[in-house]
Amino acid sequence: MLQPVRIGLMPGVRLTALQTRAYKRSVWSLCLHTQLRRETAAVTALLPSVLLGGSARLPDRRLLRGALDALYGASVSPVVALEGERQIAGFEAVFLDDALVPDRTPLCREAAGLLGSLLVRPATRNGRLRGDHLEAARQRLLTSLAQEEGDPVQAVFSRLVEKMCPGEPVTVGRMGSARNLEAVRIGRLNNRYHAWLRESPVEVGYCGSLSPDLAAQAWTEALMGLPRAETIAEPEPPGGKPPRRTVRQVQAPLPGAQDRLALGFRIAADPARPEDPALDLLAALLGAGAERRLDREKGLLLLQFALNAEEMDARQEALLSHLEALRAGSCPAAALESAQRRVLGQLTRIHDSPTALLRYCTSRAGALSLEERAALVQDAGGEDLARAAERLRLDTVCRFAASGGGEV
Amino acid sequence: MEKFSYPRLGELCYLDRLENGMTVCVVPRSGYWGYHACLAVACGGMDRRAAMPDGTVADFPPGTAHALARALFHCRGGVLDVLAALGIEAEVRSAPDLTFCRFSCAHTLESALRTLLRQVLRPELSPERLAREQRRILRETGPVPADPDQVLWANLLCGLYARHPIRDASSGAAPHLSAATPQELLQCCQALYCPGNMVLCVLGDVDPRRIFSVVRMVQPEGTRRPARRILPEDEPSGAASRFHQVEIRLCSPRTLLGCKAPAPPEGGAGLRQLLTGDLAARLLSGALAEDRGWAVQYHQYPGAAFLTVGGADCAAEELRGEVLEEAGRLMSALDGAHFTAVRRAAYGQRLLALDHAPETALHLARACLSGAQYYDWADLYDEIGPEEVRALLRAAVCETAVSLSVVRPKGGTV
Repeated sequence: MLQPVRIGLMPGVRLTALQTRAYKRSVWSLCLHTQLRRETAAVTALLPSVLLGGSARLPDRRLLRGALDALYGASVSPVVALEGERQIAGFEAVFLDDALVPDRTPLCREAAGLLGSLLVRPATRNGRLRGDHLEAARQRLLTSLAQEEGDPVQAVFSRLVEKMCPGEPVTVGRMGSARNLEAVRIGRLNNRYHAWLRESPVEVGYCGSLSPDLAAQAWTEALMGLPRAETIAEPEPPGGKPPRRTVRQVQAPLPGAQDRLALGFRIAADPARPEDPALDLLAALLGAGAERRLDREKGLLLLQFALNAEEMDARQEALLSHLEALRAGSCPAAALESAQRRVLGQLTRIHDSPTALLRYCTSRAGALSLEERAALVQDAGGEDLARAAERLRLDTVCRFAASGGGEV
Repeated sequence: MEKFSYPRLGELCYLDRLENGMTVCVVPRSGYWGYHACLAVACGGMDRRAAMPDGTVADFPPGTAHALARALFHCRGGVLDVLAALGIEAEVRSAPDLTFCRFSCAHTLESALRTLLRQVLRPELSPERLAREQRRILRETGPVPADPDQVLWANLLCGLYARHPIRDASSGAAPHLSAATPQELLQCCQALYCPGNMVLCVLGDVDPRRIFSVVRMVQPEGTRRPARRILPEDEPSGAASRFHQVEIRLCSPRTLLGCKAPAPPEGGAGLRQLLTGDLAARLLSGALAEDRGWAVQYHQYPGAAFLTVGGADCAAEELRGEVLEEAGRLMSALDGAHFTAVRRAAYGQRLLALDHAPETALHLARACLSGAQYYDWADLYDEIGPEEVRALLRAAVCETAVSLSVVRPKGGTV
């Protein structure tokens, strides 16, 4: 059984280590967690890409690439993600596992050291982060943002969240807006970098064959010189809002060729079961044939169906009847088994990918180990589903009519 | 069942050739939750001519392998439907050299393997059924507008090869799906979908003996001798044409340069050429990708091997000039330390890629079909030196072996 070990390395720096020999790679992650805010989302999202421009020792991407090649084709990529209303920004690196390095030269020090130097000792010009690195990072993020906005599934989810949670930080998005990205200047980036480094909780992760103690040692050495403020505040958990009294109905045009029905449910908090796996089963049952997104921290379940307008009433009615039946404890064994298989399939994909596994273990969901979650999914029955279904309230229904032309 | 140990890779591989000729390869991956299987059949887009077991020669029209795969796997009640009933989403693809079906699952591996093998080894096909399936596929596929990248690729292959059937190996488009008659599809299926032309690979936390026993139980009795792929022996070493340009509906022009490498041998030597070609692509890529954003790749199939260079915003003649110049520089002054660093990165990335189990299953199967053992790459890398890479570059990146494929917007930009 893969049991993550958690170790505090220094004030506000925590390590999650997974010792395993199952994979050829070791994965190293270094992420800073901050409260998602409209005014800082874009500048924070830019930081990992800017810092990946180079370190003081390897001041441009070509030198960095050369150093990674010399370490058996290692790679480092930027991370910008959201978990509820926490913005997570940093790096994820993939190295050959120490057990498989041909000349037995351990790569662990180099791996942690490289990430540490990118964060703490970046390439600078006149004591500030480099303008050319900012411009390159800005272009990369604007391209990613345009791709996300061009993806109809993502666009529909974003619009649904905007309607459900108007004015709340969750509507800002993980990279902020294109306008905010374009407005970032080097002075502001530099100020944000120093505050971000000093004041944010840092989550480092390791998955590979090394013992947690050795990983901790490598990370501690790598992060020497990391400035730490006297108090390091954890991001606040998002405030769960009660569902509306009446369901909000929205109709809107959507570029593209396909109409879409999107339903947003609020999930009532259950402090006794914050990670209730029955919610995963419920999402799988209600979202069969749909795109779905379950945000436990924010308490949202979002579903969207690609349908023609004339099919939407019937689909919505069928889905709500299904939910009522589940609340009443009625779930055919075959449907439950199929949902269990799908959820276990998702957990298997996480387990067999060291990167996904480490992400899982360093997230809030990781409070429950993958094995524990799989066992609970397997044991869940009609009562668990009924209890989880009771927590769901329909909040918003969006009907998007395809307006033709290009995609969103 | 033979056991091969690869301590440098941390891998074990169990191989066996069953009585009916099918090769089975099992790689136990302790600690994995998922099971990954890939069944590969040596029947791909380039299979246009085969020596039949009775001594005759059969010719198949372009697109036969694609149409056959669609009829076999995608038909109603076919392999994909039956696997879907087990909760498994399988992937079927026809490449130029093979057709494969692969899937990953958390449970039900044994029933899935039985289902897959039963359906592929004992297909219930008749000319009538194939005709029906062909009509359905054509109805569902419908007229598809030309994909600029596919046009670019297909034209490049025609520019590089004068006779090799890879020229029209990517014929998965609707017109080609109807080129073969139901009788030809049936003949192709009987000739090439034989156990002797198949490799099954399984990766996961499995007991190899158990997998071999499950596979043996579903093998049909008796042995059918497979047909043998015939490739032309008179393919010239140079490119068939220097330049191929077409105009279609698209926004901005695209260019792809191909550099024809020597035809790869079979077996371990072929695997060695694959690694050499990959190193050549990486070395070329170092300067071209960093400065220009161009992607360099090496491709290898039975009897055909080539490098491609392409990317956004590249003018055709400029691309040709820069690639020839960069290759010339590498051939005259390839620094030993630089070569070692590139080889080390290639080794590491190939090893890291083993974590992607479905892709590894396909690599293992493809190597088996060409008479090699994929995991031998780890030792082969030690043997490949700069001179071997220079020799490949010398043969492939010269005026007579390169061909350019260009697609331009029809009547200006759209």
